[in-house]
Formats: sequence, structure tokens, C-alpha cells
Amino acid sequence: MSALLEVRNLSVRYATARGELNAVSAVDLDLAVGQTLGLVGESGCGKSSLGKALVRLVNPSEGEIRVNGTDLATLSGKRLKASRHDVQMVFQDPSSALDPRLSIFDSIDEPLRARGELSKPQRQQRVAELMRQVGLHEDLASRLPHQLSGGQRQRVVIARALAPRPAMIICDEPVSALDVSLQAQILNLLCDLQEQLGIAYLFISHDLSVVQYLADRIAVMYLGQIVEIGDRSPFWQRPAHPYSQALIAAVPVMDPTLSRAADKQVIGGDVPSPYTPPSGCRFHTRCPQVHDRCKEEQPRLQALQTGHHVACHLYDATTGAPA
Amino acid sequence: MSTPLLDVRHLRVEFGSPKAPLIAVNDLSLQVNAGETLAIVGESGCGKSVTALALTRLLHGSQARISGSVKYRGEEISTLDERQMRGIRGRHIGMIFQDPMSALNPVMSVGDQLIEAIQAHDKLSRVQARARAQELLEKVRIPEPQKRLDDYPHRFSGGMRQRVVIALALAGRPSLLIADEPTTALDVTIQAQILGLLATLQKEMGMGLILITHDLGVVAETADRVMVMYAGRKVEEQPVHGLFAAPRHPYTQGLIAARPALQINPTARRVRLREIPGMVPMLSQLPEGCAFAARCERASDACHQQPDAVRIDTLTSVACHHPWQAIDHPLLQPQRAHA
Repeated sequence: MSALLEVRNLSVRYATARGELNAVSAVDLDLAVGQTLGLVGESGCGKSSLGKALVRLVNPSEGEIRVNGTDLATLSGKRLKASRHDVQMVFQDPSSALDPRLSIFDSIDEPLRARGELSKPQRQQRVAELMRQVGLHEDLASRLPHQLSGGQRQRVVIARALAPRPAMIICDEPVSALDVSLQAQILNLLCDLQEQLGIAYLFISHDLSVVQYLADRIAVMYLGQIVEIGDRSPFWQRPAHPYSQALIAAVPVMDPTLSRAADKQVIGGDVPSPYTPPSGCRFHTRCPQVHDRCKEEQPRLQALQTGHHVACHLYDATTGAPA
Repeated sequence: MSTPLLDVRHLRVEFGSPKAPLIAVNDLSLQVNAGETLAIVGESGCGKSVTALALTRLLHGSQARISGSVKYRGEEISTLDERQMRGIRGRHIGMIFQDPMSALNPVMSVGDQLIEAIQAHDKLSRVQARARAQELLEKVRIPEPQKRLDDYPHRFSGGMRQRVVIALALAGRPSLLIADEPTTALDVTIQAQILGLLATLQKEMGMGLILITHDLGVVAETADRVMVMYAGRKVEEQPVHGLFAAPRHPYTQGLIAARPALQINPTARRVRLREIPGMVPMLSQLPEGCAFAARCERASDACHQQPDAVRIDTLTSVACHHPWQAIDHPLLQPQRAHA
């Protein structure tokens, strides 16, 4: 496994009218070629800011973003533009991601034209190939976005992202705006494309079932920090952080014999304001297993086993791991 | 059998010109009893929200034409005028919508909004109404209710706002609550809190609840009975256990199979999700016969005719020419999901 993406100590801060907002705090991440990293967390946890920082749609305040060894965080101008071929992005709402006045052909063609490497006939051929890959009929090429359904529009956005042959696509809630029957179509498409083209995905979602389905590795974010990150099987077999456990327990279960809302144990409270995150462990205000230490000292990510890290004092070597 | 709390027969809602109407809800019948939760599930445009609005006659400003019978405690309410209907809404039938921010007035304190609702239903002094407003906030588990009465909606988080909206809906002590996607705008931990709260309040107050949602997980967690809608029609109705153990309609089955279920120990290899091919037809271009036929693997020539709802037992019906029988059912052994 070779690392395609290495993120080190990445922070994103926004200057807002209410003061400084720490959207992402000192995040470390790795993503291997052809793998999917699922990034989960609730609104305001910083997952979208992190995704945008990786393509420099927002500028990181500090840290490194190395893609194939090149640090994107410090690039600018032409070199930044050139690096964007490698990392593409797909957003939640395909309607606002497409120019309403560009035909489907022109939308998919635009990144190819911007690169200026292909002749017009070559580009036409490439657009036709991309449309085939994402399951769009060639007759749709001359249509405008409003003439397509939501699912078709998301396929266009995916085709456009594939156009510069990226090594990695950041998918930010790509199926959240779609109905269930279309979600399955798009999820299957993403899997097929990964198999055929070896693309890596950073898959950002609030939906744990979808992340479980797709991701080889899972990172859980809370108030700008990664509280747990692990490979698929150790993470799901033993989710370690109390917040990961609470998130998993809160997911509605599609089996009425197993779980009913009336007698479900649910974590209380709300996510605190990211403007004034709690001291110590940021989760301590809601944690059912909180200790005095958690209110003062911030836990660091530590290995539970190879490929599974958690930031929680419950697992500190000095106090011993709980049963 | 006793009279149901709500008894709807042959509800039909049309928009657009009478010559080429868009039929958003077609021949829909449903019953809800006191203390019972009926979930209405379906994808966007299936008519589930229009149904809720038609029942409470909140479509009156639009060009909608509504027909059919709506009986509340045995009395026909579909023929009431707007003034009489205002006596039903809130007092007998409460409503909760998806977005709590747009359901609250941003320039009025939460306490004043509650007091307004309380005084609309009961002749109480302001002091009495304020005391009752505080009780309502306690009832929906808002911490420090006395202090929070004077706060404006923007001071509340999304989950707390939805609790305020629930308190408002309860102000008239309705015996039926209609909740349209009440947790869709909320995070998953907050969703679990609100669903738990709704279930508890329903039990405490013995309310009937119509829960409208697109999320089958929410259905499984909350419903007693489930109605599945597709393109304006009811395609299946079952008690919740039956629906998930043995869905009869190919569309219901497709919906359940299309959604990855959270598992305790997921397999290393991904099993391909079962897609429902194609997409929901537009209401302006509904085919003759079964609207799902073009996407259905069991479709035959018979499906060019609209299927009648077939009763399987008193609580189960399916509108399909080729429904799955319990005996040949592939999903009878559902995957064990995450506990």
C-alpha cells in the first residue's frame, strides 16, 4: 500500500464576525491508492472544511497536504492549478454544481479544454467515453442540466470529476440529496469506477450506513478533530471512542424486532459551539464515561492496534484499557 | 370495532387544469387509531406530504382540488369551512414540519409563541398561559425551561428548536399528531433524541401519530403500521414487523434492498446494492396501469391495468398483480442489522 495522500497537522481557521472559528484542528490523515476513506461526523464537525482544504477551495492555516509527495498546502498559481488534476471533488447538490447554461457535453468538456492537451475530436471522444463510464446515454450530451433528473445530474458531475483522470476524488455527501432508489445506483457506480480506474475516494458523509458500505478506512470527526480512525474491520468490530459508539447506536435500525425509538439509549445534549469548544477532550460535555481528567487534558490519538487509533483517555496506557 | 381516530376514504388531490390534471394523491384510504403510529413512507414526489396537507386542508391557498372523505372521530371534516377547520387544527390535529426554523417566528420569543398558541385554544390569563408554556417546555425536555421562555428561536440549536415546535404542536392537546419528516434536518444523535421524545409523549398522551418519512430506518424504529406510497398511490400497507420481514410489493422490497443496513460485523467484500432501475415517473407522464411497472422485474402484460389493493388480512394490503407471497419470499430471513 503506497500513500497517495498524506495530511499532517492540518488546521483550518476562519475569521468570522463572531471571532476566530477553528473548523479543523491539527488533523492527520493517510489515504492509499485506490482506497476509500470514509469521514463521518455531525454538522459543524469540520468534515466539509477538511475536504475543501484538501483541494484548496479554502486555504489551510497550517499543516501539510502531500499528494504523491507534493505539498499542495504551499503551492500557488500555475503549480496549484496543475496539481488540481490529481484531486477532484463531487458535491452534495448536483444542481448547483453544474452551470445551468452549459450543455452536458460542455460541462464535462470544460476541464479537458482547460488543460489544453487534447484536440477537439479527441475531447469529443473522451467526453463520449466518460459519459459511457458513468452510465449516461450519449443522446443527453446536448441537453441542459434542468432537463436531467437529480440522479443523472450527479452522474454528469462524476463524469466531469473523472475527466482529468484524477488519482483521487473527494466526495462530499454525494448521495445525501438523492432518493433511496437513486442512492443505490450512484453508490454502485462509485464502486464500479473505483474497481475499473483505481481511484481513491475521500467519502465525506453523515450517513454511517453508507460509509460502512463503501469505506476501507473510517475517520470520525468531532468539533474539528479526528477522535478515531481505523481500518474497516477493527473499527466496526470494536468502535472505541464513546462518540463513535454513540453515533453508531443512534443510527435507526431497519429491523423493528431489534430497535425501537421509545426504548433506545440515546446520548444526550447538543454539539457545543465550535467558537468556544470545551476544554480538554471536546466530547467531555456529552460523554457518558467522562472523568475529571477529560475536562482538563486533551487526549491524543494513540494506537489500539495496527491501523486503529483513538483519542480518548479511557485507553491511556497508564490507566489501562477498560474491559 | 371502535371508530378510528382518523378515517380517510378515497382521498384524491389534483393540481393544474381540470383537462390535464396532475393527480398528486389518488384513491388513498387510511385509518389511524388512538395511541397508534402510522408511518407513511415513500420517495420525493410520491404524495406523502400533500396527503398531510390535504388532511388538514392546508392546501386551500393553492389551486388544489380535493375530494374524498376525511372523518375525525366519526365526523366528516372535509366539508367544514375554514373557520370551523381552524377549530380542528391544533386543538384536535397537531402538526410538525421538517424545518423547525421556518416553523417558528424569528422575531418573537419562544414563550410568546407558546402563549399565543395556548391562548388560541384555552381561555387563560397571560400568567396562567405562561405557566402552561413552561410546563410544555418541560414536557419536551428543554433544560431550564423558565429561563428559556424569553429566548428567541435563534438562541436554540436545531434539536432544541424542533422540541419547541413539538411543544407548540402540543399546546392545544391534540389527539392526533401529523409529523412530516420531523427529524430529516437533524443530526443522527439529535434525531434519535427527538424520535425517542415523540414516542414517549405519544405514550403519555395516548395520541395517534402519522409520521411521514423517506427513511425506512425511522419507520422501523417508530411505526406500528406502515403505508408505502408510490406516484400518488398506496402500494402497500402492513404492520411494521410484517413489512420488514416480508414486504409484498416489489417497490417496497426494492426500497429495503437498495439501502445498505448498518451491520455489526460487515463483510470484507462489498455485496453489490440492489438498484431499482430507472426513476420515479413524473406525475404529468404517468403510464396507464401500475406506475411502477416500467421499473419492476415482475411486470407482465397484466400490469397495464391499475391493480386493485388486495387485502391479505385485516391490516395488510398490497396493490400489485404479482405480489410476493410470504412462502416464496427472499427477504424472510433479513440480515441481522447492528443492534
